Amino acid sequence: MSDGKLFVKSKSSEIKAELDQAYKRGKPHAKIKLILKKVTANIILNNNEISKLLPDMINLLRFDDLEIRRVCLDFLCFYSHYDPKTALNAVPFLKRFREDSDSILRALTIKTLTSIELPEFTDLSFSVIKLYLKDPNVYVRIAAAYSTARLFKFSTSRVINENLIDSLNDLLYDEDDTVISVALSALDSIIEHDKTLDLKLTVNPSHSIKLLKTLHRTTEWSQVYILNSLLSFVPQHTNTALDLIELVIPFLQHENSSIVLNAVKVIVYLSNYVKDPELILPSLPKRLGSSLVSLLSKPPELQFLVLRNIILLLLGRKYLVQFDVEMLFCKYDDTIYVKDTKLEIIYLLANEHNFSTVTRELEEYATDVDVAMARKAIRAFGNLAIKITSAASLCVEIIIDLISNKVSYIVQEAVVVIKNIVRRYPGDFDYAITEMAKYYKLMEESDAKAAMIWMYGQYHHLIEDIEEGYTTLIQSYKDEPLEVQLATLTATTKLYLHYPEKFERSVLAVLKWATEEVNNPDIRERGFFYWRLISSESGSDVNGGFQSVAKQVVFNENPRIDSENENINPAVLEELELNIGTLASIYLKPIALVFRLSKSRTLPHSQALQPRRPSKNSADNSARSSRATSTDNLALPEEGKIYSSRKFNVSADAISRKKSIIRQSSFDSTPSGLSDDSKKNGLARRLSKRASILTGRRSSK
Amino acid sequence: MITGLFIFDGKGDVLMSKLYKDGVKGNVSDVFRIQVISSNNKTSSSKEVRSPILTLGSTSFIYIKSGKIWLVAVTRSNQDCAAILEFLYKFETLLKSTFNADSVITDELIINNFFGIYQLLDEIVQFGYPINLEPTYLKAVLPGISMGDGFKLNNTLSRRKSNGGSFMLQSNRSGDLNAALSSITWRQQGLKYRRNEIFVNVDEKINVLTNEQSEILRAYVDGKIVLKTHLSGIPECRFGLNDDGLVINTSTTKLGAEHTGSSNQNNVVLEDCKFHQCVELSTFDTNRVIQFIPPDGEFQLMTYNCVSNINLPFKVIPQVQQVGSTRLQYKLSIKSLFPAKLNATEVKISIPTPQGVIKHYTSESSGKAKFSGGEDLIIWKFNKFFGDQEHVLTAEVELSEDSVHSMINWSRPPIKLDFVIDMFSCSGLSVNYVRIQEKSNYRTVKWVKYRSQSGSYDIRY
Repeated sequence: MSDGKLFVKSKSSEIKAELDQAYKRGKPHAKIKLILKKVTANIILNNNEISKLLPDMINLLRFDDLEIRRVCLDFLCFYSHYDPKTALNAVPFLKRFREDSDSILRALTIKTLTSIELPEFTDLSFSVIKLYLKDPNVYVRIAAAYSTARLFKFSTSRVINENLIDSLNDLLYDEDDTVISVALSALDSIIEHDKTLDLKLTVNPSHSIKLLKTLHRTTEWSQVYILNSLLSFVPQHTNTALDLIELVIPFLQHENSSIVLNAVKVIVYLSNYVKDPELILPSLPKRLGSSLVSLLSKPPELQFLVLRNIILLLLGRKYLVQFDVEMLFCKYDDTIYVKDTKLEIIYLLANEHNFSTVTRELEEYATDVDVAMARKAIRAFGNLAIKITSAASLCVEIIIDLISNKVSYIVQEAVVVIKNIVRRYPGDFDYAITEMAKYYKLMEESDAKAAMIWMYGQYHHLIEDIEEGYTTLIQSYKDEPLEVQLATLTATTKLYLHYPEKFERSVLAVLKWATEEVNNPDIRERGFFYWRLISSESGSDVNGGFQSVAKQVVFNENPRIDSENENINPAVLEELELNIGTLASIYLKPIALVFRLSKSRTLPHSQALQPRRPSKNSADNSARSSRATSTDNLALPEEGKIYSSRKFNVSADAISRKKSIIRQSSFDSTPSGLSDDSKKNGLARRLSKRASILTGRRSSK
Repeated sequence: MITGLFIFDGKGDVLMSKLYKDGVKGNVSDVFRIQVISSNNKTSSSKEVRSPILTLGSTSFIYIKSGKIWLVAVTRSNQDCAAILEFLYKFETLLKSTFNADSVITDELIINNFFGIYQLLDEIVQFGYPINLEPTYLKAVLPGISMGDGFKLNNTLSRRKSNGGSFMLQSNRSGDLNAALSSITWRQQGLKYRRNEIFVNVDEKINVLTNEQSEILRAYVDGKIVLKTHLSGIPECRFGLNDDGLVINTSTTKLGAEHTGSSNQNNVVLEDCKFHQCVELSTFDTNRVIQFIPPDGEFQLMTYNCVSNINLPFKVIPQVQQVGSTRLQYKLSIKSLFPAKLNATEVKISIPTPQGVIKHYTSESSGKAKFSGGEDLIIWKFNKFFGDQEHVLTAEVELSEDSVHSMINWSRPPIKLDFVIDMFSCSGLSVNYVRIQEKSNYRTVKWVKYRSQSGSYDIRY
């Protein structure tokens, strides 16, 4: 018989009536079970009205039938707090059950007792739990272990005073591996919830080795908990760490991905205590790499998790993992988030030897139907060109080839990318500028437009028909976003200084607008600056060159772009590495930022602890790649600083805003020679300058 | 670990809820419905979710979809995401096998068995920690729960029950419970079969990507070995693959891998393999023997991954030419490279065309080619494709004048190839021996079957 028709919301009065009916029969069991199914349906459907049935459910406990009792006890856990007084009527039943010969009933009893936060129930729990932790039955010991963790939540001090933690510790030496793993996970949860005391799990080496040796006989979940607990073991000698690594390596071969990721976590953790682990165990990087790659045959959600962890390892432990970039190429039917993440990894893995394969693959993505994917591929070309000098010319060729299709979003993305490349390799790719400039009509997005305007201003000599192109570009400058307007101001001034006749009208119009009509102080400021500079009497020097001083100021050399040196803070990487496979590894951000409640973890000190290697790799790519390819909500830690959790929420916005300003000022050859050093902390510096001007004015009054 | 578990139907109605710890209330389901399900329904045009995990404050939703059903785990703070995802998938498998669902879970399946599933959830997870999802264990801790009419853990189990065999739990529950939880958690004691059999299935999926010059950009095999065992007692099985030619690739450089490959062409080089929990991993690590005590019934013994020395079953040479602004000419030849006595079935080549085709013409040397307007594909099918043969297709499509832009913007999705070949293994992996040792020393009938099929076999042009 199917239960489908019992899955409905019911009123407590209806159920009560049905129960009364059932009692009238000789053998009510079957009927009662049907009614209880209805009750369960209402628990599932979150119908709190049925809490009124509490007395009836307690009454049903008198039936000597496990099925009936199971449902009633479950009901008690849910609804006791609605009517604590009535709930007390269940106490005598539970007192009786605790000595029942049926282990399942004993386990259910302790589970129920510890789930109800009422003093009578708690007292009763403490009276039995110690016995249960030593119960001959495995199932009861498991229930008791978790019940201890449950009790810890609301009567912490009592759990400690009654030495329950010690009893739980004793279970770590239980004869049954499942019980050991359960005790470990219960302790883990206690440590996680513990706010007042500083509890720590310590594992002794011989015990952990023994555990590992028998681990293969336990269930997969036990393996997860036991592997995880190895992070609490602090190796005092390199050799102990190595022994453990070798014992953990076979688990990389398990089919369950959480076992694999936990094994990776343990290996990475232990390798902190070994000098040059990759030299002692030369096959380790390959094994870690291929074991992670083979998890990519799992469903997409798991692939995504694995890929994010690959990124983490590539950022901090490149020497410990080895991948063939081909294995990480996107498949046509990968989900978007998998493709995104793979693209990031491809970029991280690209080097002098494989860039030709990589660029060929990226070219394929750039013609993908998915617009977002195509854009990301183009951005990846730009980043690649900047990261690998020898790949630059190939990348530029491909980009130029791609834009010949005149697909608007590709061209716009390409402009932004080319702008960075020509900044990085001045003079090497003049042809790209000439080619690019032909597409001025396609510029719509602000990023692309600002980049194009900047190129017109900077590389006027390479651009044909400059007047027409530029006029079209800046046509609507009054309605453009801020960054385009700023770019317009600078570029127009530059062009005026080069071609006074052609651009006199434009510059007048733009500067007049900037100084008289605009409310934005940044634009007005810059407008005034150029205005004064050009109109200044000392603009042209004694030798009479046209505006030579102004030219000197405006045409200063651009600061060179490099892959920005924004290392991820090693402390952040370290903490993330202790959390491989967890939710935090998806976000790749300082854990306290994402999960306020989580406890921070650091590498415990021991004499074998090796200093962390500087990750020179992350220097090239961390921040840049995050900006370039990750989606907004999954960005890598920007700037890689740790902020205290509360403060960050407030300041995050400000920081990102600040960044965007810095970014744009970095390619504008901004007023005066100040641009060179203002690149990094431009806003702050400018702010302080302005502040000093203001105070100066006040004092002069 | 897991604070609560929910199952939703496609519309966002709750079909199942189970809270394991404090920290969230039942109405947290509303949050998920609003944040994920309805926004997903709205943007169904953009075909998929941007991230499989949603974190709001300290609460995270980790979810998978099975058909139209959403399986959702709610957690607080930072938790082991891998374990939770893995649990959700195993739970999905458990639901399918327990309630005999074919491929996806439906809302009827959940509703019709809601009581059984609710109790199941009570046992497979305790205090938010997954404990055990093995049928053996569940039978022991959930005796006498009728799980709708579909409660058959697997065929062998129900058969045994009707025989009135050793699997009577009610009589001596606590004893059996301890047994079910004892060290070999995946196998019940006292199994007896009249006929002892073991079926070995080697299933391989080959994934290939070639470019317009028919050069291979990427080729790898995802393989798995699935066993079905009907064995009495506690048998210890040993498994041998390719005698001496099996290498697990651990060389540190890619160059090294190629080197070993070329020195011995017959070697099967596995990049990595993953085993079922019953396999003794340390034994495998030291002397490359796969040794295990199998669970009863069907299970996946191992999965593996292979990139070198792959026997490609087909070679496809595509030629696609644009003639004028509205016409495309295709010339495609496909050659089978496997032995002539084998044949491939379900061979299907899907050749994309731009949108807006008004005229089409195909001519093929064998098989049947058809243009499917709805999918914008030319589909070329063979019932049987014998080894060592070559066939050619020529085709032409013409677009309507107003679809010129669809030709320009055409993304040229890859040509896809699908096929199944029995008794052929792309990786070259073969099962050399299966030995079974048991106290009573019975004879076992062994069956080995190979099957290679296409995974994603993409041909760019």
